[in-house]
Amino acid sequence: MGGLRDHESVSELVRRLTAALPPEAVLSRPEERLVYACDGQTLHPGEADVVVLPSSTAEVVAALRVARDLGVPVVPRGAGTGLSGGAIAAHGGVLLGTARMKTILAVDPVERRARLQPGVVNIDVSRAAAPHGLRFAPDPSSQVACTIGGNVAENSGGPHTLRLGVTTNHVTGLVLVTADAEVHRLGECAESPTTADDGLIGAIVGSEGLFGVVTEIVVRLVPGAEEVRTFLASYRSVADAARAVAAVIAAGVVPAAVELMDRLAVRAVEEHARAGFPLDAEAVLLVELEGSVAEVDALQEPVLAALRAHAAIDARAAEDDDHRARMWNGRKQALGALGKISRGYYTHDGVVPPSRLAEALERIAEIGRRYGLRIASVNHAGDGNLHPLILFDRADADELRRAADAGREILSTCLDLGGSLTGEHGVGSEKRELLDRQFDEPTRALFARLRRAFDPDERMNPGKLFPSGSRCGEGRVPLGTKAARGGWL
Amino acid sequence: MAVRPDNEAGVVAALGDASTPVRIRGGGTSAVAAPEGALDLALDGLTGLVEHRPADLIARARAGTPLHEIAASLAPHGQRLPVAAWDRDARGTIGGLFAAGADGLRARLGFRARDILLGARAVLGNGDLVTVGANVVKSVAGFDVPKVLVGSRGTLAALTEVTFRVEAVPESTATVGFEFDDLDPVLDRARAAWSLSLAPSAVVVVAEAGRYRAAALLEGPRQAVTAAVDDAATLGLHRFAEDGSEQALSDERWVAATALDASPPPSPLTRITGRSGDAPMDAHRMVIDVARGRFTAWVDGHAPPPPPLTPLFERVRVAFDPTGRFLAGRGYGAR
Ligand SMILES: Cc1cc2nc3c(=O)[nH]c(=O)nc-3n(C[C@H](O)[C@H](O)[C@H](O)COP(=O)(O)OP(=O)(O)OC[C@H]3O[C@@H](n4cnc5c(N)ncnc54)[C@H](O)[C@@H]3O)c2cc1C
Ligand SMILES: Cc1cc2nc3c(=O)[nH]c(=O)nc-3n(C[C@H](O)[C@H](O)[C@H](O)COP(=O)(O)OP(=O)(O)OC[C@H]3O[C@@H](n4cnc5c(N)ncnc54)[C@H](O)[C@@H]3O)c2cc1C
Repeated sequence: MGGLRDHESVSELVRRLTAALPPEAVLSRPEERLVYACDGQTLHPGEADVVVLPSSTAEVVAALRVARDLGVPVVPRGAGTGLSGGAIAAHGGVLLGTARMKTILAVDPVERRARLQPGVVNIDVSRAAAPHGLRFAPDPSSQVACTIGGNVAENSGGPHTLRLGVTTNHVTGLVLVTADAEVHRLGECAESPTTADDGLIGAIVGSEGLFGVVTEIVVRLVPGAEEVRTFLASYRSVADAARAVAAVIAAGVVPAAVELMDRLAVRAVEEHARAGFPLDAEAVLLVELEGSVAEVDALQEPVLAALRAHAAIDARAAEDDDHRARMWNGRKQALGALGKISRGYYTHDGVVPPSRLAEALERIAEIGRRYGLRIASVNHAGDGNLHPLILFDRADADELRRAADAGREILSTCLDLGGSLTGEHGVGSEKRELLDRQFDEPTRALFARLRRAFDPDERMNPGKLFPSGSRCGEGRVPLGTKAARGGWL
Repeated sequence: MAVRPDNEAGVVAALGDASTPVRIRGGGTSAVAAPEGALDLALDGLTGLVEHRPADLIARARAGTPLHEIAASLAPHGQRLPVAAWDRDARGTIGGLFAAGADGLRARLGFRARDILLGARAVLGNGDLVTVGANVVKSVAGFDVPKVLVGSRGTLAALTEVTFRVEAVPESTATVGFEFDDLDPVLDRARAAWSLSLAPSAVVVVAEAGRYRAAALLEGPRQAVTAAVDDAATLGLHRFAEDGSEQALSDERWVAATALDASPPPSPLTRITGRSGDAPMDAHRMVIDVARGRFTAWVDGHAPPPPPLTPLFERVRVAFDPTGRFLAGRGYGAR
């Protein structure tokens, strides 16, 4: 089951899709398809034979019937901000975009739920809930662009998910259309949910588009906090900052957010956005407390004490709301800012136990020195989720190769320290060859059986998550064939 | 035949012959006896905390470790399990908690059993030992199999080891409530409590014999709990008296007093559950978990049969247990 590259079968596919869907929902001209050939991770491009943009579950079913009848691969796609090469058509076939499924179907302020189509942009959920004093807790830095469907498929996190949990902790219902074009209504999307629905929903969230197309989602909303207080601390070494993070948690406090940025990232942010971070430090911590006023008051001193315990240059509360907003804006634009100081960069996403953060960051710095590469560090430090950003010149093939090798070594280091290959970006095309470093053969065999329980022919999003193995048609786009500069810069 | 292995290799050996039907149990709190011809596999011999890393907010334990032992190991570090399972007769095990999805009402930050199981080792129906999830609070590598195992009641795999999130014991706890003989005002008060600026760890409405009670569990730093109790009073919810009744409504006994009836009403009453909006008004006893949007009620007559599990779930079940041995007499659709 490879892509159908020959002209005749592609025309047949387009003809049938055009018959099944409204005309504006089928894009087949090369220039129309081009924008879908990359996602936020630009090293693994792949072009679809046709792009469809259905607007309802019924239209998704119609498109999937055609793909089923012709035995064609299907790749779901939201906004294409994914950073693991998950939303590209590695094997051709149909790319199914959710750009026309942007309706917020309902907001229920009493039960604190929102019912959404998958193409709804993350921040629009919180905007719709705001009049009721509610919000959607997961807040990826890409939240102004990424979709809820993409969040569900990747089980996305964000700076503020340490305390309130990532996407999976907030999904209570789903509608999934599987590769056989069957519709499955689960949990709070079902007429009468079964006791197994929570388990199925748990499996589907984070399945990277391999289990089917999610066409409707019910999420929990949480109340906005009465008080939000942000602290900024700076350190002479990254290791000191990392030790301060462990000290905060050890003090029994789970802040809403704990972000760590190193000097390189801070400098880029300051040039780009003037967020008000100190330029004289090797590392800064951005810590946020949320809750009732009395709760935040009570936690402020223990947090400041923990932040100061490890040779802090300075640790204090944000001056005012404006300072706080500038710092968060700076943090959320860190990737873009780094893109400006480099001709290419590669974002990684490993996890280590927070107690080993200092060690991990020291080892990453050492890897950078050994490969002769600059590596900036922007981390969701509270949960040990590292985003080392390897800077390189995309025009320099050797540097590109070194960047890829260094990246693999960083992820191996995370595993050696007892962590994980990915905390929020997913395995995708990018890390699939490393899956067997984290999971043994019997576990991968279980994953494969699970995939086939949803999709016996393995037509949904092929070429992702699972190592390439020996299957034919698994042609891999060689690293560096396309510009490796983030589409997001 | 019954076996009670005391290590993981023993579990793998006991499950070696893939054709034998198996009934798994933990501490046996609620497990049903194995049917004729099935292997009775008790996992409460697999005990001990493997590791506890307070600063990483995780602990890892063998599946048969008693819940009270887990609590005793976490306590000296000022930590606890984020859920409060009702542990009748002190027999409950950590594996049984996750397998039963038994998580009571307390959820400090909204975390339930399914939210705190981070990783697991388990033996599948075909005898394979797998390691799923991760030993860190955040990971999206591979499929999220731990979530499928929560609530699987021994029908998918035998859990041998579990990694779970832990949390700090709050400095202070208080329960506030309101009682009346009409549901609507009680439900309104409960919803108001749910919106307190110190987010309650549990909010329920209990209905019995024409009386209705709203109760909210407040936890956190002492000054925050005190302030929240004052806020609640302005909403008409008052701290339960200091004569011990508040104590009776704390922690696991709080759970026992509400969701899990310590003295189940005599048959032919049946226990039903559903979305809070569908709560039956004529129940003999009813508990609405406001924060979760679910009710549990004891009603006359027999429970309607649960909706059948779907063909999709059946295919997922087979991925774990190809021969159906873990169903051991429970038909298709068991869970
Ligand atoms: C600047 C920047 C910052 C970022 N910050 C964060 C962050 O803080 N935290 C974080 O977790 N991620 C972050 N990301 C990564 C990315 O934004 C998230 O993974 C996001 O959830 C992807 O959403 P999307 O709509 O762009 O999905 P896409 O990139 O379009 O797709 C991602 C995956 O989801 C699948 N998919 C999409 N929609 C569906 C559907 N309806 N049904 C089934 N499968 C579907 C696709 O097949 C693909 O495998 C960041 C990315 C960028 C560029
Ligand atoms: C009368 C009564 C009613 C209850 N009602 C509820 C309720 O409604 N909701 C609720 O959440 N809790 C309920 N509980 C509590 C719940 O049963 C226990 O908290 C939980 O089962 C843990 O106990 P255990 O270790 O003794 O497990 P057991 O009672 O031995 O087993 C419980 C279930 O989990 C499975 N299991 C146990 N250990 C493992 C393992 N290691 N691997 C795989 N499967 C395993 C068993 O097959 C069984 O299906 C109830 C308890 C009682 C006594």
